[in-house]
Amino acid sequence: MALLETFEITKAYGDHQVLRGIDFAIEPGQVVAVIGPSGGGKSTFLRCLNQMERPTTGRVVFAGEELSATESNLDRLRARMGMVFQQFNLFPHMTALRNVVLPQMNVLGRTREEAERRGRALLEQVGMLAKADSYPNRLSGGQKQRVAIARALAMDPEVMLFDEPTSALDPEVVHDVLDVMTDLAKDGMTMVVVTHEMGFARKVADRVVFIDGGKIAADLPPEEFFSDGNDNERIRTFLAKVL
Amino acid sequence: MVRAPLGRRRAAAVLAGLVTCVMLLTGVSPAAAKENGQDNGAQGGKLERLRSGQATLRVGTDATFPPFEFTDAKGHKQGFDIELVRALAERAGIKKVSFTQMPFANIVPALQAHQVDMGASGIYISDERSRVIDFTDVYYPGGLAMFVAEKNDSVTSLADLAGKRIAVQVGTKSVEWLKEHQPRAHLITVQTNEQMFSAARLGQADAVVTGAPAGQYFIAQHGGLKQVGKRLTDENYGYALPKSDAAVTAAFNAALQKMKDDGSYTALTKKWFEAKSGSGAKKEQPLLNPRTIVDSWGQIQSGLLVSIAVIMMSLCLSLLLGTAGGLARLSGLMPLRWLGSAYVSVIRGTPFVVQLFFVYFGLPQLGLQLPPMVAGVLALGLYSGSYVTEIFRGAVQSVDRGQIEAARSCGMSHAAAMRHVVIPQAFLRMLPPLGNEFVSLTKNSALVSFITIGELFMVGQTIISRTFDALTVYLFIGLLYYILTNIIGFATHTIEKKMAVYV
Ligand SMILES: Nc1ncnc2c1ncn2[C@@H]1O[C@H](COP(=O)(O)OP(=O)(O)OP(=O)(O)O)[C@@H](O)[C@H]1O
Ligand SMILES: [Mg+2]
Repeated sequence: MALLETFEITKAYGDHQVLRGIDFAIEPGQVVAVIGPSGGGKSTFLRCLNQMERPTTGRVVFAGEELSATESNLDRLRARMGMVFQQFNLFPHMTALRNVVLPQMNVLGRTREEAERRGRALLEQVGMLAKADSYPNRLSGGQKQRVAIARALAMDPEVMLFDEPTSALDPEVVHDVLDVMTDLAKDGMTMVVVTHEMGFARKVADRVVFIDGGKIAADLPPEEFFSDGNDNERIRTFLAKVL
Repeated sequence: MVRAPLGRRRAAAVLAGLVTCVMLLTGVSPAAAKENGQDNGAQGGKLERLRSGQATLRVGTDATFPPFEFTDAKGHKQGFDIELVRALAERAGIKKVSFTQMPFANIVPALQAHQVDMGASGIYISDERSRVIDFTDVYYPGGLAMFVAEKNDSVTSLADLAGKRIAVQVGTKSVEWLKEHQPRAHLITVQTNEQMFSAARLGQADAVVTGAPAGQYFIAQHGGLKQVGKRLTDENYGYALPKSDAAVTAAFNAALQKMKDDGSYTALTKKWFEAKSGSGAKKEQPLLNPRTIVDSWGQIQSGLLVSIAVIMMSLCLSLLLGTAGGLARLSGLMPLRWLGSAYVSVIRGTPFVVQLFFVYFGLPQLGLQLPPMVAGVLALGLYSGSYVTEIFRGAVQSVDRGQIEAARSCGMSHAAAMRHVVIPQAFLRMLPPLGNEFVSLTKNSALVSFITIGELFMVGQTIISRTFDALTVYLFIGLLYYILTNIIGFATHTIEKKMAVYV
């Protein structure tokens, strides 16, 4: 059974129709790369998955439960879905460790000790333990993003949503972050990754979803998607631009 | 708002105008006054409660009018009125008497609002005043006279005042009388008795028209002026009481008659109006006179403490209201948002002094009578809170949306995200504008002197009314305010530096 599923979701900002009916499903343990031209609606789609953005119509079902409009139910389900942002969005007034600890204590009700033990383990996993007591302003972009990933993982999520996690990074640190994500995927994490990193999509993803004009224009395994035999004209022009 | 320093004359004129406005707004409404009177009359037994000691006779006075009433270096009220009222009260069997400092022009409104039970402040009995309050029998004959600087020989009669600048005290009889009898005089309206004489001595005015006893006392104490021409009027001083307290008035009249009969009244008038008049003019004083400050140190200290108390309490209230107001303005609930905007727009759109007087003099007409300290802190807190509301809202809105999204994506509630993530960041951004706002609050706190709170500025005025040393006193008081505002600036800056480790 699909872990996360959408049914005909649409999203409009006023007259501007951004999503035009998206049916999507991801199985536990799958990694889906979402790619497509700028403005095509990738971020909007991803943000609909945990209701950061409310779809105009359509339903989102997570682990058999409908993500309803009632806030408390929503908070409960969101806690089981991690999200990583292009701009990191670390809490600047807290140390790296405290960033990872706060949501655990506040949402999961863990004690400080428990939360710190888990937090340190995760910082170690993303290679950031040495910086546990640093404030975000002392960290590079790549370091910030790894702390942000640890913060999301600390909630023990069942699925991780990434929105262009490496787009704001200097090229030389992109790999630090991609390595962490690759390890996660290998450990069996369910992941939806909006990305421009074609190498990552090709090597790590189980499926590549191409979103264009608010619709899923293709949903293929990477070897098919990137194969020379793919005759979808839009995909070919897109790939010609980014590769 | 009186945020920028104004010249003393201009400030006096501005404030005089406001006082008059508020008198019109709160005081001279006969219908309301009558209702108030009836309410109180219905309770009855005021005199009995005064006699049994259950109630204290609260006497409003502007103790800047020697020899009738003034404040000595220890902060005690002295003068003919003070001693006579105490003696009369004792003879009338009234157990407790307390004197409350208030600007002269506020005494009649305060009587109408039942903020005080009696006015004893060298008040002339007039028909206009008699319409809204009652007077006791005459306790001292007065009358307006003209005073000029010693070297000035250009004024000898009322006719000579035409085209001249005449200093008068706001709310006193001189104002109306001159408008009627010498309309060609240019009136310079000042707040206090002292400012009036100083104006003539310093050449800011050509002459002073005021009660003869006060002028003579000034000459006896300080010199530099002389009385010219004949007395202009012969009116009489009386003590003012609310119309509803006829029994108290009658008790005072009986006591006054007794004192006149047994000679104690004559002894008292001799003490205050004759003994000192012979003592001659004092020597010229140096420009800055540290003795003025040293002699009044106890008084200044207590004024400073009152100021600090007022500032601290209003600061807390302001923070509380500002946070509540800011949260209301950011709320998802339409009525709350509306309430927050209304608060900010009304309070920021009206002068602080008007709000202060509304709270203290206006609300009693609606049955809400607040002690001066409560009214002052409430008004200051309300006023400053409206600015803090906007500071709070602006700071919260300046925190990046991504912060809330990150918190909520972890499953934190909106409230938790605000509390742990947004508000701590907003607080740091609030500190510099908050510091500015609290500096403003400190400066505005001087204005609560107008509702009888004995804080620093009022203490300064009472010292000047005794020493006539405005230069030294205002300089020193200004210095104290300067230190206070700098402490606040320093404190916010330090907190900011401490908190800003992450920026
Ligand atoms: N809050 C909003 N209000 C109005 N329009 C919006 C809003 N958010 C996104 N849009 C519009 O929706 C469209 C899709 O935006 P979206 O961010 O989903 O695209 P994207 O595929 O993620 O693009 P990119 O690769 O540049 O990130 C764009 O035209 C954008 O201008
Ligand atoms: Mg995007």
